[in-house]
Amino acid sequence: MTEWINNIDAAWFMSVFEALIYFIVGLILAKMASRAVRQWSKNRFDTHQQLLMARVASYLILLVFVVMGLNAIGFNLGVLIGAAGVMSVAIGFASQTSASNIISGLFLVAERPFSVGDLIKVGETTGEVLSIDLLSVKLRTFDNLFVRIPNETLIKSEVTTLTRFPIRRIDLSIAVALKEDIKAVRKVLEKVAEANPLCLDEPKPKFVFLGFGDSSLNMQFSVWVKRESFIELKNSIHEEIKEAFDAESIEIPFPHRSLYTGSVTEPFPIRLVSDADSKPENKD
Amino acid sequence: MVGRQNRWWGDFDFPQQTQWVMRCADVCLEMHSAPHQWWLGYEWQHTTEQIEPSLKNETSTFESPPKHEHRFVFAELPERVAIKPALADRPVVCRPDVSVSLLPFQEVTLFVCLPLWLKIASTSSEQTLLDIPTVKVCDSWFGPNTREGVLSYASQVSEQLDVKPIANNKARAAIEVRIQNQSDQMLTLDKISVPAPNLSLYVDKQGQFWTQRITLVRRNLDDAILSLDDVISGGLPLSALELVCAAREDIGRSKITKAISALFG
Repeated sequence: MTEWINNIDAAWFMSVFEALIYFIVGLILAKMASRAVRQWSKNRFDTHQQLLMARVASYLILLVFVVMGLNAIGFNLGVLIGAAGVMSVAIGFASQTSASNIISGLFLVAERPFSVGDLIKVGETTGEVLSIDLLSVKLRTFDNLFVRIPNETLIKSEVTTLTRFPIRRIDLSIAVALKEDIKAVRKVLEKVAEANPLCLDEPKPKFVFLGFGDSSLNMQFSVWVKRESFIELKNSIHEEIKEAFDAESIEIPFPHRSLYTGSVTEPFPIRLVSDADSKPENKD
Repeated sequence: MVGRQNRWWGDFDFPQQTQWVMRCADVCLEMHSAPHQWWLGYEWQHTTEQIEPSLKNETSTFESPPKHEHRFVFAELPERVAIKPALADRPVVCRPDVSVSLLPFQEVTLFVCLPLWLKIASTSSEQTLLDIPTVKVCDSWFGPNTREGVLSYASQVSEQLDVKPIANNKARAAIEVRIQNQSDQMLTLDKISVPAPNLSLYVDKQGQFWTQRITLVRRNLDDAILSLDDVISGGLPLSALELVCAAREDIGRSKITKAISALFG
């Protein structure tokens, strides 16, 4: 033990001490840089971008001071770089998917198709964005389920951001009986939209006659609404249309079918049976 | 009731077990003071427009609970209530009955009635308890497309070329809108967006409400300027008016430039 202590070179001890100083200073400066970058980017970028920029600044500074510290110890960085080169090939093969997710995440951050708090629809999944992380995006669905979607999937799929614009359109499919007056139905629908305060006055509600169905006149009535009131209007306007149709005696039809016996139609044979004939005690 | 010149707005004594009923335009607002709480209930009634607002000490007028009710609780019940008229918190879209076409290098002045908002607060605190329109307003969107624009109110406002017909409605604020077409093309006005949050509200001795005059200048197809003039609508002198409510949003002393589609439709 004493021999070992005697063999310790004072210069080597100083270099280790110097390296430690570099590491500590690096840590402190990295934290300060991270805080400074966050402060600077507060009103310029969204939360996720602020975090990313702060991390990049912090890691860069830390890396510089780690290299300086290793250099002070006398570590041969060339060996490390060579080993890193070999390792990177192995790691690259093993982590293709993760690397793809990371790169996809960077593209998502740069492109900004959605932000934290937005409602998005990816395939069959609709939910609120909880976080946009390095490898994946986390959603909370409306029935309170947690969904993790890899960034690679998002880059490759169609993503619908439901909360991108301040207003949305509700398309109502309306079917009325064939006997109804289309102009009268249109007037009723426009009155309902005018009376509902959630319906935007502009853009104006749109009426489109879609065509003659098997048993009905099919039409589309589209109204615009603030995105926050989407569900509320969707429910209320259906109720109001039903009430208005009932008040104006406008029939919402059920499917009708006409039966024919053939090209040269013979009447269907019908036998009328009275109540008196059908009772057993009367059959004598 | 203690008020200034028998006004329907201002600061009023509101001791415990007092009930006031306010009617202004379409809104009927009841205020009831109970131990440690205020109850405020209101709804819009479309029977007749109350163009002479009133505040009276009455029993409840609602046959059933009103559609909107609020209760505010206090550790120490405030003694006075502040009722202040204001203008809308969003731009108001005014639509002429028939669209107006303005020839190149021509100018027109329109007079428009804007609906009033009511702000209710306790005099002991600056916090506004209620901020409601006196008419039932409809949301609207004003902008060049469905992506860019601003949420506004669409109100059934009447516009005139003369101030006199609209000056008798004390439940609305009169605004003079001067429109100048400095381009060489016809300017067709289907609707105008009045920047109500940027306007201050004044009252004259007769109890009629006024705002500053605004000037909309169209320079070319895509460029228009809105400016708030230092002149009050109707040419009334400032000395004859009292400031009721300052602008909700300060536009600053400079003019603002907006795309033509943000001012005219």
